[in-house]
Amino acid sequence: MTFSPPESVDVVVIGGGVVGCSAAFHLAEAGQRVLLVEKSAIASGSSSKAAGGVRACFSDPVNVAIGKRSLALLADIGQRPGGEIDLHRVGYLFLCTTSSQLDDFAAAVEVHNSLGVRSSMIDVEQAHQLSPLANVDDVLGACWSPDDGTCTPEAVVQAYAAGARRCGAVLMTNTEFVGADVRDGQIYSVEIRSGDESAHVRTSAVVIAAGAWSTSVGEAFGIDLPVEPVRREIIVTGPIPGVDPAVVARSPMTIDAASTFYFHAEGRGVLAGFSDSSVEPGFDLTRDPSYLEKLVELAAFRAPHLVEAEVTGGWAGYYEVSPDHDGIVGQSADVSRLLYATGFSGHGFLQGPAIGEILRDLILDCEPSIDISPLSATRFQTGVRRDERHLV
Amino acid sequence: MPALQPAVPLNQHLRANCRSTRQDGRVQIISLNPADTSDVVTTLDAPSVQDVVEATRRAHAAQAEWAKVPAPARGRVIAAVGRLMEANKESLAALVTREIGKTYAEALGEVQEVIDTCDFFLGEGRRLYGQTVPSEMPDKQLFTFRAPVGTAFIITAGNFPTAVPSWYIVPALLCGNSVVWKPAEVSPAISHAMTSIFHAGGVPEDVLVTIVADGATTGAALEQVLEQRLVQKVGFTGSTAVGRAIGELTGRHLQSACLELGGKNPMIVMPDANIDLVVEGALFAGFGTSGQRCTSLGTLWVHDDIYDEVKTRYVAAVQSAVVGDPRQDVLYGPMISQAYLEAHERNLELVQPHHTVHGSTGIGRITSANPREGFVGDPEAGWFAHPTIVEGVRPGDALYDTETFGPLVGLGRFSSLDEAIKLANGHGYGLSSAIYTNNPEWVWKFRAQVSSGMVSVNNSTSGAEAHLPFGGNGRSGNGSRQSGVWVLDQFTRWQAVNWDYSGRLQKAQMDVMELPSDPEFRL
Repeated sequence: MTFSPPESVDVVVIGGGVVGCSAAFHLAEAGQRVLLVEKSAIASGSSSKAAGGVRACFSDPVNVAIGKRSLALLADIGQRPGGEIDLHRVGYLFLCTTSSQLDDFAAAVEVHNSLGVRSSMIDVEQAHQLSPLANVDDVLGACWSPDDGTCTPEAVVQAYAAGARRCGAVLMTNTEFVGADVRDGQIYSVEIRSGDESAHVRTSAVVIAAGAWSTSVGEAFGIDLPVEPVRREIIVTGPIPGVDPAVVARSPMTIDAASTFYFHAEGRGVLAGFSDSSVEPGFDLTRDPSYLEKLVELAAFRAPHLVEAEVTGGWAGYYEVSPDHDGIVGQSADVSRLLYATGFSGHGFLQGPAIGEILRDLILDCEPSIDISPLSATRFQTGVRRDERHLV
Repeated sequence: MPALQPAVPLNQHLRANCRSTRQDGRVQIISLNPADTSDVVTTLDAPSVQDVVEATRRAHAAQAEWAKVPAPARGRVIAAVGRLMEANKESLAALVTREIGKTYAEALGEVQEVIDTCDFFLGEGRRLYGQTVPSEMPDKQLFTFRAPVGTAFIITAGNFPTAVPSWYIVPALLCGNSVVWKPAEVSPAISHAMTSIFHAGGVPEDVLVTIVADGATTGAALEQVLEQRLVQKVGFTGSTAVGRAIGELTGRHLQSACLELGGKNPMIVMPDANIDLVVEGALFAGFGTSGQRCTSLGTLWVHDDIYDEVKTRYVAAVQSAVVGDPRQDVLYGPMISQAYLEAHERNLELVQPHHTVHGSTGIGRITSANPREGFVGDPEAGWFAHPTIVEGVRPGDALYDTETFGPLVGLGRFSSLDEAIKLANGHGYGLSSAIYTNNPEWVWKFRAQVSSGMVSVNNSTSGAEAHLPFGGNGRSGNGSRQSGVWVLDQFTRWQAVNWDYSGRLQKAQMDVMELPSDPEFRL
């Protein structure tokens, strides 16, 4: 492969995960000349390590709207940009074990419904019927969001990458961002490097979509993007002994609201995980032997059948965590046409499709269909914190 | 009577369509999917007047070489274009649905019309007949040739972004003209796709130059290119008001534009009509394509004897018609763009106190607060409008003689065919008309006396076939006709040639051989 980047483009996108590839696709499709640089391979960072859940059932209206739009885009992905992502709209089921959780989710249901997302509070029997693998002995009720579901994260990223290429975008892998020529608040060019070759590409617009690696990229432009990598692990099981495979396959994404323990059907078994709050931030994907023990302990109570299943796989990936555990999306006030979308703290995969569309609108100077001003990085200076309560 | 004002004002946070000025000062044309305005279909830099003039200059410079290509060889190019249109039919139709919101079934039909047009004209390359004409002198031959007019400047509308342009572009190219095509601002992606297919089929790049510009830029450029004699023919499909301006402008340059303008197309229902057929025809002609065809039904005129029954059944059919996502099985999808929706909302203000409104649970934009029963999809994602029947329309009402170009149909009554013909002609438009009857006397009387360029018998006002002359009279156009062999007169000029090989000057009328006759002869 020869290193021959374009001399000049309309937009440089930094990062080849779901956000970068979706942005590249939507921009290229809208006629923009796009260069995407990815320091490793497409979908090699956090996106394809995601659990694959896609949902609109958040507590914050902006996140609900972004999730709803992403679901619509994912449902249409066979048409635009084309591809198969195994979207199964099995629904999201948050199990509540305290009355304050019930009240909190009931308030969220009102937000969902006001934004056209079907969800409802259901009783224990209904929850058990929907998710027979779950032990509901201590459950008081649940929040049920039937249009949510799961899909294959890597397929989504590859679909957007392929679509972007078809629309004329140049996607360069094993190519890293080195620095930028920014003068008087204008971007003039971006320097990129692959191996020992480097080049300057003229552009007036940059999108930072570098996930857990965004902070250092932001520094090159003098913008503070406070994200930290936090290791998250997932396990995958084989068939569950003694349980009808059809029952497993129908299982919605089931989440214990208190512990964040979750599972959904994956292959002939399930994919399960939880967010271990004891993990310290840092670039370290060494898997923690005690993680499985903690997971088994949670599963033994919440979904006892799972404990019988064989663990057939698993992995560790990063959440890129922001100070208030919500996305950081917007454009710089100091550098013209510098956009960023990072810090999604675990819901980046499912928001990526719509975020790419919003980034396109910002580049085109056309009002985005969702007002994302609350996600601006400036909130960390003004001390406003996001209040998304329904995180996993 | 239902409220006349739209139940909900146009959503203020709705994305503004079509234009934005970037930080660097460039104006961009932004094309949105009207069924889902979060979907930007494409963007492009808006051209300047000078850009349009330069594009025209390129087309003008390329015309002479193109005219030298033998007509049958040009016909082969049209054949290749037609085959490519066929091979790309589904993707082009999907783009039509996405960019202007036409239902996919109708979009497929529209692209088929492009293919049909190519099929007709590929053979015309081997005809394009002139005549040999006997001379009044010996050793002299007379001929007529069809000569290309030169460079055609074609301006088309957004409602038929592929079929109607092909009615101009295909015969114009076949006849040896070069073409500058200025498609509607709402369909830049479709125009780009169409143009790419023409070029892939073998049309040289400069022989068909496509440039998307707004009306003001186009108008200013048109003045210049006519002044500089870079354009010999203007074709325009669109509103009567703009058509009038183009007619004036081209008239000053001693040109006659090909003008296909609006309509207020009447459907006359006689007492013996097949009412099933009437309801079906009026439903499709009135509300198909969201009523955004130039041949859409304007007013349904029903004879007193069957008025109540037709009205009841038509209202029921419209009430139960499915509106929504144009990719699904619906009667109609969104309005072409926000501007079309806004124009429709303004037309609803023409409803008067003596009218009664039927057809839906509301009027104007469909929203969650102003819902349409059975709507497919998310109405707030796009620019959708309720179907509206306005009962009690009569001469003197604004709705009698205003083309509304949206899902709005007038309903009125008459007691005799003479009265119906007067109603059909009285507004001054003359594009399409229909009569539903099985009585030949009524059919032929209507045909002879109605002023429209196209007449349907027991068929709706819309749905032209690709090889019959298309065009209107009065406020609908200046008599120009498209399609079939008739359009050849728009894109060629007759050239008369005489060739005297007698070796002497034979003067016409004076040196004519005269044979003796006997004028006194009687039997």
